Amino acid sequence: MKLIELAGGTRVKTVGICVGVAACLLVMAYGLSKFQRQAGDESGYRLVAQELQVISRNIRSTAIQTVQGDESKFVELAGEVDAFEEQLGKIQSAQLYETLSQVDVSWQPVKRASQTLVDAGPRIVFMSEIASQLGKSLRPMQRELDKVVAVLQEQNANAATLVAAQKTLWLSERMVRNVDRILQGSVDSQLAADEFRSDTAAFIRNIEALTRGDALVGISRVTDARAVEAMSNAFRLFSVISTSVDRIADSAPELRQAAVARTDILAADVALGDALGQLLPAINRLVTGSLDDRGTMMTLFIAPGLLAVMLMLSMYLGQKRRIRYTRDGVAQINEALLKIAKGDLTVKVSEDNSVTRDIAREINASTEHQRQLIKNVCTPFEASVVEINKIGISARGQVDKGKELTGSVVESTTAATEMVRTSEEIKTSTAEAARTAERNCQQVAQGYELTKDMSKASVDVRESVQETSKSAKRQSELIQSVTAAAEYIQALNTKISVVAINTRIEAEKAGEYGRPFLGIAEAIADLLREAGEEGRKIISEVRMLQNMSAEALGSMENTVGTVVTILEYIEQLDSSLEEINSGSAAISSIIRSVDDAAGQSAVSALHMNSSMAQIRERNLEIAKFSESTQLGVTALQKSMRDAARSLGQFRIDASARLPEAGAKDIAELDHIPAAARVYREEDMSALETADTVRASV
Amino acid sequence: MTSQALQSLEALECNYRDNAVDSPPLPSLPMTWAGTYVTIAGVPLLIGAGEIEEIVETPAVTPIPGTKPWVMGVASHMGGLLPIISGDVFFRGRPYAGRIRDFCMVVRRPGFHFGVTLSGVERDMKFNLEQRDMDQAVDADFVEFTLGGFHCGDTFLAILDIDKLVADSDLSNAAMPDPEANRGNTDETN
Repeated sequence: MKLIELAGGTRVKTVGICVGVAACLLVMAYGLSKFQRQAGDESGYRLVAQELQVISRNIRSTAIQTVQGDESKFVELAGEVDAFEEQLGKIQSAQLYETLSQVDVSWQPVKRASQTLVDAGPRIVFMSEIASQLGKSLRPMQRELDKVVAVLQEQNANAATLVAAQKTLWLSERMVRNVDRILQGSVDSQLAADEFRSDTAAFIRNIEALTRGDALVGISRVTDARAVEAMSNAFRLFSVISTSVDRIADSAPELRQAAVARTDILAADVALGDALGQLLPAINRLVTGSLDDRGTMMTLFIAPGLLAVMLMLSMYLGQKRRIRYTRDGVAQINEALLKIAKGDLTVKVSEDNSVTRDIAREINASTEHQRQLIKNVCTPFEASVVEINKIGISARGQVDKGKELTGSVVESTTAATEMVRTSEEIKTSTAEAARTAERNCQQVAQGYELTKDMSKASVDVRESVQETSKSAKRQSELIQSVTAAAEYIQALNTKISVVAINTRIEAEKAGEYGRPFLGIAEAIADLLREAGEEGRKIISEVRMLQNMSAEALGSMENTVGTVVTILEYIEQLDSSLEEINSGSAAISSIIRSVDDAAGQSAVSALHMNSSMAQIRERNLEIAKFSESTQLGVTALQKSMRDAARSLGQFRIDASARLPEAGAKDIAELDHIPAAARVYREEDMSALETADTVRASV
Repeated sequence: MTSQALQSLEALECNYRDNAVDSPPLPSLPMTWAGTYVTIAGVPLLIGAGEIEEIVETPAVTPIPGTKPWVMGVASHMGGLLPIISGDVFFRGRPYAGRIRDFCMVVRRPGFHFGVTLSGVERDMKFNLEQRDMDQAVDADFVEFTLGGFHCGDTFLAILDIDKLVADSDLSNAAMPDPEANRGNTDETN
């Protein structure tokens, strides 16, 4: 009865202590949740800062990619600017005000430049499309114009017509280059725009002059059907430009601003990156400060903890009295357990003590159950020994295979190292090839300059020839005028001669009275003779002048032909340079590809090398594990032997002892033979095949 | 009075006859040939002085039907009518379609008064008569109408004898032969 009362009082006290401990734990849980909430805000700021860094890098990358004129890039850029603004607005902390101000100061130039780029987006997209279409249609257009020139040469057209046709070729080439310069937004883009505008006007003027003829500049109308069709095709291809000349030329300032904005973004991105880089340390400092402020909060953890300890101590003292009563029952149980420990499973514990009654009952049931278990264990024990033997053999095989694998890995590593060295040699060679290609490009650029100079010189020659031609025509007109005057004088001489003859005749008819007139007639005849000779001389010299003028005109025609030939050579030279340039670009691209491939190969080889090293390490580890496994198996064999010996010590029947099960088999476990030979994969395959053959036989 | 005057004159005459000195002998001047240098049908020719009446600009002519091809027509000249003969067609004997002949020479002979077109008019010329070359070959179409000629530089100028020209039977009959009459004559012959 006393014992029951003692147990009831103890339960009430225990319940009180448990309630106190629970209250302390609730206080600690509250403090913990508050701490976690603050830590959550600060980690969110850290994520926002990292997101801002990612967005700023994306803005820089997208701004660079806008050069390609892809419309989606401008949309992407606008979205990234909005995303940056949104993320920046998420950080609302007074302690980060200074750092956020620095970020905002660095962000504003990037934002303005990005807005400029987004605003210029439609223009850039338009110009990119124009440049792309023009690039596609340039070659066909020049082929058509070339046909026109060929037809004109075939028909021996005059020099002005030929030069006009040739000039259209050069103008088309220059227009494409100027469109590219405008698109790039370089410093001289405005000059390129002006030149582009004048070139398009000159191109259209030349085409119209060739189509309708222009007597003022001496361009003849092209009438050949092939040439007319070629000109029509060329003008149709040119319509890409002709319909939007003003828009292309007017876009130069905006594209220039876009290029400047792109440069500004690249320049301001460094400052923005620095400012964002300072944001993370500032947030980290904020976290540390919060931890320092939580010192008082930690006391909330310590006080409930101390209270809980005190409650537990009081509960311990209450339990000590209960233990003393229990000790007697436990002594009995210990005595029985000692016997059980010695292997005597026939012992029986008294069940009088109320505290240990259940234990005694359980021990008794347990010994009974153990006796039954030992009987059951003896049966599968032999099978376990056999399986352990097999495991030991397998572990040795694993060790051997691991050694072979290590050897293969070493060979692979050597091959990978050789591959890295080869890749380095390839990279050196590609670098040399790239330098050579760059020199070729420079020489091609010099060739371009030379062709430009030659083209200018041909234009000067053409203008000079035109001037000379005009002068020759004027000379020819003057010579014709002089010839007409000389012929008129000769006709007058003839008439005067007739008058003189008639005078003489009439004087003779008059007889003596006509003698004075006879003298006059003879004097006139003498003068006419001299005048006639001079007149003939004048006419002869004028005809010589006419011949010389004709020769000069012929020489000029030859000069024009030579200039046209030079223009053709220039064109051929230009096309050759173009082909060389494109070839060099292709070679450079191939070299870059080879260089990248070699680099990737080297990286892959290095990666493979490191992987091989890891495999070798893992293999060594596996070998160690296998050795450990082998040792473990050996230990297990020993343990099995010990277990067999121990099981033999159990007394489960008062009259009999457990037989030493499989003692002979267990002893054999120490004598598992090592593998006589390490077989390679192919040997194993051959052996497997041989077994199959033998089985089939 | 009258007799005294006559006597004085006789005295003067006697005195002059008795005392007058003979005039010095004149040097014998070489004989010259004078003529006009013209070209007919491109052939340089000389026509003696006095053989042509004048040289005129070829007047507008009115064709005369039924005449020979070398008759260009009849023109008005100094109040009368002047037949114009094409020198090119007459001498060459074939049609001419070249440069228009601006001048023609007018020939007047008894029974003849006509103009011959000239391809060129040069001037009057004089030659030493001794230099006349009678053997130089001339254009075949003009052989029967020339009578020698003179050398002038590298050119030989044949003398066109107008008398030979007017004596030519062909020139004398400018009318085109009647084909019907010819046919009748032929029929009669047959």
